[in-house]
Amino acid sequence: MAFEYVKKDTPLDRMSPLVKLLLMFLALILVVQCTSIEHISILLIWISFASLWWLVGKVELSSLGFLLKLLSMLFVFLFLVQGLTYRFGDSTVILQLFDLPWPDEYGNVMVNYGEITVGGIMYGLLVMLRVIAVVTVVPIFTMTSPMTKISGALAKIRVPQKIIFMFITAMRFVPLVQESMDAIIEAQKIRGFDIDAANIYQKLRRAYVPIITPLLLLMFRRAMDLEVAINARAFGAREDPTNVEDLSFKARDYLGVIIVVGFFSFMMYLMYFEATSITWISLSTIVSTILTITSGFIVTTGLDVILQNLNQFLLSLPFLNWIGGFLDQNLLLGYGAIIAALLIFYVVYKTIRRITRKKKRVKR
Amino acid sequence: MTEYSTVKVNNVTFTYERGPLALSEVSFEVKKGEILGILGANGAGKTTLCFHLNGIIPTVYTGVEKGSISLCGLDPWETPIIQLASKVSMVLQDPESQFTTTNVASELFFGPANLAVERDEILRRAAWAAKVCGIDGLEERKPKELSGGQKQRVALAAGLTMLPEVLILDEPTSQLDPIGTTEVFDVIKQLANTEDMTILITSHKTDEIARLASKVLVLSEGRVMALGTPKDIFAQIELLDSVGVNPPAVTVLAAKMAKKIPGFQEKLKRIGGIPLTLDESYSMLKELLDEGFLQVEWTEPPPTPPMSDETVLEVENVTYVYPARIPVTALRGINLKIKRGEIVAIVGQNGSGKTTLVKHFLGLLEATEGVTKVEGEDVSELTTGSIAKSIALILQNPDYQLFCISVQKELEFGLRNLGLPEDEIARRVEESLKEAGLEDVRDIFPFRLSFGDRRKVAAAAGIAMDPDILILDEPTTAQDYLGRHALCQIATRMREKGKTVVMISHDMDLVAQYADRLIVMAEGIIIADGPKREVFNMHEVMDKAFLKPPQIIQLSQKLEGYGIEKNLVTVDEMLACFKAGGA
Repeated sequence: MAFEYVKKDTPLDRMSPLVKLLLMFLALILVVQCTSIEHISILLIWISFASLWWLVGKVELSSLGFLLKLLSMLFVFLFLVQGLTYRFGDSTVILQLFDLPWPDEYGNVMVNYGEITVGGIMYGLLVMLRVIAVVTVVPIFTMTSPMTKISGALAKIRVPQKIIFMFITAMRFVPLVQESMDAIIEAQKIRGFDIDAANIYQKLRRAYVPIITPLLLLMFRRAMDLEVAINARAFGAREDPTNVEDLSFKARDYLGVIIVVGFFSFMMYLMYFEATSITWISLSTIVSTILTITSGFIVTTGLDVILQNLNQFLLSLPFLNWIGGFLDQNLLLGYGAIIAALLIFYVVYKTIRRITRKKKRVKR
Repeated sequence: MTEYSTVKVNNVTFTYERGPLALSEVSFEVKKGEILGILGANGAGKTTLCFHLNGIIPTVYTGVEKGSISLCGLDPWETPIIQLASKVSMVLQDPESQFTTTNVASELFFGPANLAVERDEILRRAAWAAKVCGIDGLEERKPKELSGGQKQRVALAAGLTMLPEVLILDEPTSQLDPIGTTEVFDVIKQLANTEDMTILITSHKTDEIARLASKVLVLSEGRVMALGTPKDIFAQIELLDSVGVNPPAVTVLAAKMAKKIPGFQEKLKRIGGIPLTLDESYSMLKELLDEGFLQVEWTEPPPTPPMSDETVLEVENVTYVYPARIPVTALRGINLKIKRGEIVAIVGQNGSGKTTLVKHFLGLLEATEGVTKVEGEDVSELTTGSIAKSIALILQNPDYQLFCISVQKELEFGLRNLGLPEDEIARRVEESLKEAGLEDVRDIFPFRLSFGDRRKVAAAAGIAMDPDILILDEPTTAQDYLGRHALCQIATRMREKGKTVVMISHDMDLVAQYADRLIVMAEGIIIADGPKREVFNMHEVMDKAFLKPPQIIQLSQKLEGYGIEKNLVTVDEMLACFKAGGA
C-alpha cells in the first residue's frame, strides 16, 4: 500500500498525530480562503512549507507521484473547463478550440465559450494548487503516524470510540480489499476469463460482475467475522477504554504546534494585508524575468528564426498543415505546427508502445 | 478445585433464525483444568456449540433456544457478552479474520483496554501472554508480516490478555502447516498444564486430540453421539466412521486387526485398551510380535501404476522474485518435469513457494528467469485464458471465484469463456455436476451452501473445463475427513481418465494415500523429488521442511526390524502384513 505507516524513527514519527491533524485542518482552512488568482503565490509558499515536512519525515516521494498520477486527469479537466469558462481574468485568447459565442441579454457578443483564455488557465492553476495543497499534507499524517497513536490521539480529543474503530477498520480493510481483489482476478483468469484481453467497453459492460460480486460477498463475510471477533473481546464494554500509548504532549509537539500555527498565521497575514500584492508582485516579477531572459536568449542565439522556419516547413506538410493551421493562432502563433507535431509524435509513440507490447497467443 | 464444573451444558436445543436445527439436546460438563475435544463432520454443530459458550449466540447470531448453559456460574443468555468476554475467550478457524487492529502489540492491548483495565496491568498481561504463546519480539509486526501459525498464536495471546477461565478453540489449526499446528498445540498443552485453564477444542486432527484431550465429545447433526475418555471414544471405530470422523491411523489399525485376528481383542484389553498414539501402538505391536502372538508376513504394497513418458509440465531453471520495496525471492532455480497421468504432491511449509510455483504453470506469474512449458508450449507466450483449457486449479478458498446466481450457472461461466457451443456446455455441466455429487443443489445460490459444498462447486467448475492437468490447492482447508477425501477421489478418477493431477497439501496422510510422487519444497527450492515411499524415508529432508510423515509410515519405519521392508502408507497395506502367530 502506498500510504501505510512504516516505522522510520524521524522527528515526525515521534510527534503526536494531533499536530499533524492540526496541519491538515489548517491546510483545509487556508485552501477555503484562497479564491482569487492572486492567491496562487500564497498556495505555492504553503506547498513548499508542506514539502519541508516531507523531507523531515522522510516520506517517499514516490507516494506523492502516485497521488499526482491519480489526480492528473482531474487537472487536465480543470484546465480545460476553467480555461474555457472563467472570464474574469486576463482575457487574452490562447487557443480557440471551437466557436461558441454567447450573446448577453442585449444581444451583444461579449464572451466566446470556445476560447481558452490566459485568465482561465490561471484560474485552473489556482484550483489545481488548492487540491495539491490539501493532498500533500494527508500522507504526512498517514505515513508517519502508527494506527495505535492515531486512535489514541483521536480518543484524546474525545472522538467517540465507535467512530475511531470505524476509521481504523476502514484503514485496515483497504489493503485487504486490494489483496482480495487481486486473488479474485486471478481466480477468474484461471477459469478462462481474460480481463486483460478485453477492451475497455467489454470491461465496463460485463467484466466487473465476476470480480465485484465475490468481492462484496467476501467483504460482508469478513465484516461478520470481525463482529464476532470484537464482541468476543469486549469491544464497547466501557465508555472510556484504557489508552496504552503514551500521548502526553512533549517539547517537540509544542514546537510542532508553534511552527504550524506560526506559519499559518504568516500566510493569513500575507493574504489579508497589503502584503498580498507584495507576494503576488514578486511572483509575477520572477515569472516575467524568467520569460524575458529565455526569450532574449532565444532571439540573440537566433533560435527563433530556426523555430519559425521549422514551423513554416511543418505547415507545408499536407497533413500537419491542417492541424498546425488550426493551432497556429493567437499566443501559439508562430509555433503551432511545432506543438502539433510534438502532440502527434506523442500519440504515435503511445500507439506503437501499445501495439508492440508482447502479444500473447492462444494455446493450440 | 477440579470438582467444580466450569462449563455445564444441559439439554440445549438450538435453531437458527430462518435456518436449520443446529443443536439438539446437547448435554455435557467440563471441569476446571480439563481439555474437552469436540469432534464431528462439517455441519455437525461444533461451531454453533462454541458460539453458545462465549455469547456470540445470541448477541451476533440469533435463534430459538431450549435448555440451559452455565459458564463459570453465568448464563450466557442473560449475561451481556462483554461480561462473558472476560471469562471465556475464543480462537477462530481463520487466522486472518480475527485481527481487529493493525499490529501485534495493539492486538494484545485491545481486549483489556476495552475493559478499562489499568495501563500498567495491560502491559504486564500483554508481556505475559506474548511469552506464553511464544510471540515475544513480534510486537511491532503487522498481520501480513506474520505466518499463519504466528497469527493463530497472536489470536490466542490476545484472548489470554483478558485472563479467561475458559478457552475455546474452533479448529485453530485447520489452515496451518504441520509446524504451525505443532506450535499452537504445544501452547494449548502448556496452558492446560501450568495455568489450569479449562479448554474446549474442536478439530479434525484426531491424533492431536487423542494426545491432548482428557474428554472427547462426538457430535453429529447437532446430537451428542458419544462422550467419554479418548480411549473409550476412539475404540468405537464404526460409530466414528458413520459420523465422518476418522480416528488416529494407529487406532484404526488396531481396531481392524482385532477383527482380522482372533484373540486380538482380549490382548488389547489386557494391555490397557486401544492404542491412541504412535508410541503406544509401537510398544503394543512390539510386545505382541515378541511374544509370538503376531507374525509379519511381508506383502508387497501395490506398485505405482506405470507412467507414460510424455512430459506435460516442464519447469526449467525458474527463478521468481516478488517485486516489492524489498524484493522477495520466492523461487530459486526450480527444475521439474511432470509426466502425463501422474499424481504429484507438492509439500512444504507455508511460504516455501508451493503456490508461487503453481501460479507459474497457469501463467498467472511470469518467471523472472527460466521457462515454464505446458504440453511443450512456453507459458509466457500464451494468454491465461487459453491455458485454462489445459490446466484447472481448484483454489483453497472457493469464495474468490463464486458469483453466479446458481450452481449450474457457475459451472457454465468457465465454459462460456472458452467459447464452447451450447449443447457441449450442457453436456459438460451435467457430467461434472454428477462427478461432484451436486445434482441436488444445482439451482441453489452457491453462497448459501456450506464451505465444503462451495469447494465442491469450485472443483466441479474446474473439472467441467475438461483440463489435462488438475491442480488442487490444499484440499484439506476447513474440510472434514469426508470432504477432503471426496476431493481427492475426484482427482483419482480424473487420473484414471488419463489426466495429470498436482496437489499442494499439508496433510501428510492424504498425500501418502493418494500421491505417487512427492516434491518437497523449502525456501524456494526443491529439496527432494521422488516416489513417495522413498521421500518419506529421507529423514533429514522431512525435518528441514518441517514435515512429519504419517503415523503408519512412522510405524512401518519403526517395525523395519520385524520384516516390514518398505514404507507402508495406508492402514490396509499395514494390515495385510500381519497374521496370527503361533500356527
